[in-house]
Amino acid sequence: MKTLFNKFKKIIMLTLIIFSSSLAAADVSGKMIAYGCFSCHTEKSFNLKLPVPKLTQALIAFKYNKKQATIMDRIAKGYTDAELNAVATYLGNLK
Amino acid sequence: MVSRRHFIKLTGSASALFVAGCQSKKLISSASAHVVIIGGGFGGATAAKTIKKLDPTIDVTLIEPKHHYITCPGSNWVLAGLKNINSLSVSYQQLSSQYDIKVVHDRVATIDPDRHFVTISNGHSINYDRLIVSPGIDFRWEAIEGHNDSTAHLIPHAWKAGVQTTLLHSQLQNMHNGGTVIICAPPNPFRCPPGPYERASMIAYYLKRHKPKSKILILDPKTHFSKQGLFIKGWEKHYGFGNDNSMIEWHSIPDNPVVKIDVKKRQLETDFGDIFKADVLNYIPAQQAANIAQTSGLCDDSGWCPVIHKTSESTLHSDIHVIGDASIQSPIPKSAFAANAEAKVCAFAVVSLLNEMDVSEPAWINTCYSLITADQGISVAMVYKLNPQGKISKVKGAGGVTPSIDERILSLEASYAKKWLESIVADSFT
Repeated sequence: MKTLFNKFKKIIMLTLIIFSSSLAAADVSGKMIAYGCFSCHTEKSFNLKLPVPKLTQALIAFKYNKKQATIMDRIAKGYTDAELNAVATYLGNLK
Repeated sequence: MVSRRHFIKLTGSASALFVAGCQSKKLISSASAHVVIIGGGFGGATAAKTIKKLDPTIDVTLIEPKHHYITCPGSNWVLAGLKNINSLSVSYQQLSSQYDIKVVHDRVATIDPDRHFVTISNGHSINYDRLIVSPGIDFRWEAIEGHNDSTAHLIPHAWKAGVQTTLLHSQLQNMHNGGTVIICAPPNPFRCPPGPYERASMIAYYLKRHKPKSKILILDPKTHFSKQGLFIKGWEKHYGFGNDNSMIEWHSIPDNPVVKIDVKKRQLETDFGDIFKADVLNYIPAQQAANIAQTSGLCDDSGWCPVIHKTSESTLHSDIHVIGDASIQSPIPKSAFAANAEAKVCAFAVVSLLNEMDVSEPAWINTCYSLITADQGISVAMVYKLNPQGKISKVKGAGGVTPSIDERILSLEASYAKKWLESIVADSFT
């Protein structure tokens, strides 16, 4: 019985390793970043279902000073373009 | 991905039993892992809610003595007459009903880090798999002579919102036109770095309308303060700062700090023997992590709690995480926003650790809004990530202060400040 469980454990561990190594270590996930957004923009406010490309575009525009802001420009500069895309994808798909 | 705990659930009780036969006791208890959270401020409430959102199968108990929490953000606005203190009150009702968080209104007496339980005031103990400590601050009364907690009903600190805020508010209302308000700002590090200066602004806003001959002196043991440039520009514009008849004066006295208070006379004495007499005295004491963190061995010599930044797990006790004002997460300041952000990073880590998964890469945001007048505001913001050494660091090029002192921008900042308070309360408590 012990061996059987250890076998399962090995499979699970292996899956974990494969899964985690496929993620770039330095990138923050869209979900983690999104939870930060909720401090100022409640989760309910994203029920509007903004299309992902539009959200990404807006965040990128804030980051590169192409869109006027009081604070979103200062915040968007904290993330890579890929991270902004990831957070837009997460927020755009909230149910 | 199937975690070990979910694996147990998926494969049913037979497997669970079989696991029971060959694994340690800890694994069994992790089938319904229990997280206990001490402190129901922004940190504790957000941690509880976030854990439940990320993994509803984890049992979460939040221990907080108060039935209602009064937010520190917005409490300076009460002094200006812009907010009623009751509007800053939040209950724990929604956390318990919507997220199935067990809220225990009691005080934690002791933490046993080795045996993984806390005791509450009635002597009962509560076991945990992981403990999150978010107790906030307590005051270092030993830094001042003649004043302590027992005289705080005469000389309010108003640095924990509630009756102290109401007391300071009523003292200001009872003061005569031409009176002197003294704010003693605390030394670093302390809760809400822009707080004393927003407070001066809000008191000035009230006095300018109702008692225009009055003055505010800020006595500061520091040589500079948060958003200093923006505060000073705002004070110059609205309160005559820099002129002979300025309503606000800022005295930086790092070499000659306030050392003694005569609470009856509302009189201060500095190290060199200078005397300041106040009509309303707001002495904000030096601070450290709250008492429970001190008595549980979670603090270092600084009086604050050192943590591993990626997980906010204590470097002094394993399976105990410390977040919010009590923890050392510098360069993130001690703010409600920061406590909310640290709670989320902590919740992600705790859920991963309990599910035996890798802890994901964290990121934090902090924004501190302050009002200069009822409709002119300023802010400072920053995004933080882990550096290769595993320490929190500011993301280069991000953040900074309000970029312009254009009236239109400052008016937008003020409206966002008010919106932000509604949002952060909703995000943390509902």
